[in-house]
Amino acid sequence: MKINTKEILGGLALLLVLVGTPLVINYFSPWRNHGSTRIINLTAISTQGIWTADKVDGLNIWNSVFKKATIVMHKGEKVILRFTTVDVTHSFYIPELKLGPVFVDAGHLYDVPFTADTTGIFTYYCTSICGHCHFYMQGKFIILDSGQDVSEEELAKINKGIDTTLQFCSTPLNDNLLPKDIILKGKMLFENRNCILCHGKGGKGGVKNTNYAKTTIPELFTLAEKLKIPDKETADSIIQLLRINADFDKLNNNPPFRTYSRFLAQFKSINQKILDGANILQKADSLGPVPPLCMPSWEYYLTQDEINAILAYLINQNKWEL
Amino acid sequence: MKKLKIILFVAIFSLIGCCIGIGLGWTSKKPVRHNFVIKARQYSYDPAVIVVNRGDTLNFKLVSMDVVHGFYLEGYDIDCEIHPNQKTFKLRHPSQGHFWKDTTDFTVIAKGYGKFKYRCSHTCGTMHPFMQGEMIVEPNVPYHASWGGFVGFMIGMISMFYLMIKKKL
Amino acid sequence: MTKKTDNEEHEELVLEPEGFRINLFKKFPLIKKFAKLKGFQFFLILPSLFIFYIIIISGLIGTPLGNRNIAIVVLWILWWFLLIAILVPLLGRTWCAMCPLPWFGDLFQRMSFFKVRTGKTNYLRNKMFGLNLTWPKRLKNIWLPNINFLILCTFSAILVTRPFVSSFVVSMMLIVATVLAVIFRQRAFCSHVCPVSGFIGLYSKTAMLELRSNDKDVCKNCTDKGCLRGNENGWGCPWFEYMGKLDRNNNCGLCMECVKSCPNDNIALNFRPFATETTLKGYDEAWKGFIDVGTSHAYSLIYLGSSGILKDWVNPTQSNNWTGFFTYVIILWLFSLVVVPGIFFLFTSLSHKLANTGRVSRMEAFKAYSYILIPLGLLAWIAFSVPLLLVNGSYIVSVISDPLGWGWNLFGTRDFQWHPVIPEYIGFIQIALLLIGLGYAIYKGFFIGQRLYNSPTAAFRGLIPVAVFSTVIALAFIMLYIG
Repeated sequence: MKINTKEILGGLALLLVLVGTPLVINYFSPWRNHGSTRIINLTAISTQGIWTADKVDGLNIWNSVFKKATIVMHKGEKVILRFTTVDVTHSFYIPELKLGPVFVDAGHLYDVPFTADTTGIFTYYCTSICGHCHFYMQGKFIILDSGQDVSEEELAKINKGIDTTLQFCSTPLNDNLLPKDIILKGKMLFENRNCILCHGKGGKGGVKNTNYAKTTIPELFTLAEKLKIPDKETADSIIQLLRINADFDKLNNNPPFRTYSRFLAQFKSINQKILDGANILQKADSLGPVPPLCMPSWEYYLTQDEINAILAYLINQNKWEL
Repeated sequence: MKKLKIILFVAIFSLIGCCIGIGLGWTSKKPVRHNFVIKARQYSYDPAVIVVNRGDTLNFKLVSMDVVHGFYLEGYDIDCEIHPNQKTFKLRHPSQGHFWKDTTDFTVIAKGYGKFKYRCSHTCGTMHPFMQGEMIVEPNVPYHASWGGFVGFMIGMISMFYLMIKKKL
Repeated sequence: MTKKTDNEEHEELVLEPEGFRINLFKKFPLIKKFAKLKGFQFFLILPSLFIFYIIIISGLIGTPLGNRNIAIVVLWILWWFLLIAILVPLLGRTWCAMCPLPWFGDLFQRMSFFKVRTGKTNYLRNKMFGLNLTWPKRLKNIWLPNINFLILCTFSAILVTRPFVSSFVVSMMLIVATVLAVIFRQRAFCSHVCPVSGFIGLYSKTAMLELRSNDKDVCKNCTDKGCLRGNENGWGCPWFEYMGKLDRNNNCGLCMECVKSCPNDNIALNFRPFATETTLKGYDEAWKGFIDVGTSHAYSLIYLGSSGILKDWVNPTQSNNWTGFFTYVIILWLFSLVVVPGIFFLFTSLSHKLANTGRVSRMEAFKAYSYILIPLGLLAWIAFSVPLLLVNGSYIVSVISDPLGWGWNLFGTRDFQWHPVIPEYIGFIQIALLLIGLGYAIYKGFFIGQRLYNSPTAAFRGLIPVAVFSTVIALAFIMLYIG
């Protein structure tokens, strides 16, 4: 075959497109760093409730479970945190480091330069509700002394508290599957509507809320006391009233127990608090960061029946002194 | 010239149809106030269709049931960002740029005629670009007019061919 | 019903105004010069290959977020709109001349970029590589493209929102096209498999561009038949067309090989009025029209409507509502394959009865009249695509700067915000488009009837049900869009 310059040029042009394009694209991948500053890529995935440092692309989003990002830095290190999301709006917030909240709109990319100047283990939060797994969307941000290192086991230990609760996130509740019994129903809602994450298992409380005036998120197993319910019998009768969905206002004319009016006032206020939520929390240090966790409003998300069930469950949680 | 005559002929039929359509569909009611709570979820609004009358006062409260959604009401210069589990949402007027303010509700007066869509303006998942609801301001003049107009157009075309075969056009 | 009289038999036909033809080759010699270039297709395809290659890559390794990935934004907002609203109605199958998908098959068969090989393969006077089998006779129609198109339509919600799926489908089409080119003769994939080609082919009948022989008599006396069989100047028509008989755009890929191979310089590229050809051959083409009207109705309801249930039905991988999905599949297929043709059959039967000439069978009337769905369907598809472009067109601006959603900022427009363009006036644009479609449908309906019944009075009587049907279809769209 006679060598034809035109043919060769055509072939070269085709080759240039076929080989050159992926090479150029790969060279400018965000997972390659050409500058001197380390870039930490963080991608939010709402269905899994995580920020991940893994590479997320069109191909692997379908079948992969990504690893929750645990960010490790050394004191004095300068990095660029690069945030993206693959589905909905998320945010990234480390109150103790006054980093963020960075609102990450889907389809945009946010570069946030950050210098580590205090050592410690910090928690990052997503503060913009991003679906069923939102309340699980937190992880650890570790700043070590320079030269220090952290082993895999230690990392696992640090992360332990966060990952164990994931079972509730992966299965959104089907309303038809709710148990009939009011206390079981309340328990299930308490867990599946994610109250459990902030208020603790069984409402035991103790979850730290950075720079919150009361330090920790209120415990709820003592709800009966807050409602001024004197003893277990009364508590049971109130649960019974909740079960039959009684009109509490009407009962005021003929109170079933002595402190009923005080109970009713408290009951209504708690009920209202669940409906309204609390957006702005009192800060411990007024110049400090905004507390990351706040009570959501449940007005359009829980029916009065469901709120009653949760309240009944919590009243039932009280440890009565014999 | 013949072409122009034909076009005029059909156009007159369509116009008459338009007028009849508008006339039949015309309503004028005393303005009232509506309070809407619009719940956004992946990937629709509830209510998906709201029907109001021109001049009505419309009060909107926006709620998101799952993730962050938007509410871009076309023709009214309204764009909102709705966060779930919050009583407030963010509102801006697109013509004034990106200045968001927190609010619990907003009020507009129904103006114009016909269908105005509200669309999601914040990417909320795969089907986000198709997430929309519709606000219909009665009387729906474009709709009635095009009904009448299309039927008139058809009658005009048929009559045109009738005249053509009778050699009158 | 009046019995036909002798008078009617001999009545004078209403003449359809002769459409203009402007030979662009004569008017703009530069176009002809370009078409005559051996590298004509090479220069068209290479840029589009580049873009499609980026689309494929980006779908796989770019962001999974559709409205930030070039695979979705450029393919389904920009390319689709350009194809349906500009390329097809104005330039016919021009896309097929620049489509990169069958190119590798072409290159394999020809083993050259520019040089034309002479030799002998079947009836061709070109040397072609590959097995060069004949395409099975049973499949020599567009039923396969029809079914493929419906399959793509069925999964449209997943296709147009997941970059990976778009990329997968495009690469599958490329692979299938190449494999078929190895096995079968010339552009078998394009003529008889490609779902988009079926769509473009049918609607390119309305196109304002045609490639035809200048003088059919020259073709009759031509012994070379280079256009069909190829010669040392150009390849034999990859679409199996003979210029001497070509009178339909359906299967003309505008690859310009015949311009090069014609020994008599007898090829013209004509500019002509919209919707000039009105002949449909066979039920496959008629059904293509029904499918397109059916699917555009369904799409208008699903994607431009406000129902969340429907959106869950079409999006089963996220909603997990497979019952809904299968309901939707059954409704979509029944609607476009049975219901629309069924209703149309009722109306054309009525038309046939009203015309009462006894000249043609009922089915022939059905087949001939089904042409009216082409201008109507095309304009309805444009009306459906307009809001997609105007509302989400701003994504194009940002994606151009950041094709893979990786935070590049090539042209400084990365952070361009979503901003719908004149959304409140889209309804009026749609009304205008549908009115144009309706006008062409009724107008062409009369002349189809006249050709069919050979009598203007019969054509007029037969037109009435057909016109009513077209109006009903147009009004159904109006109800979805602005009602």
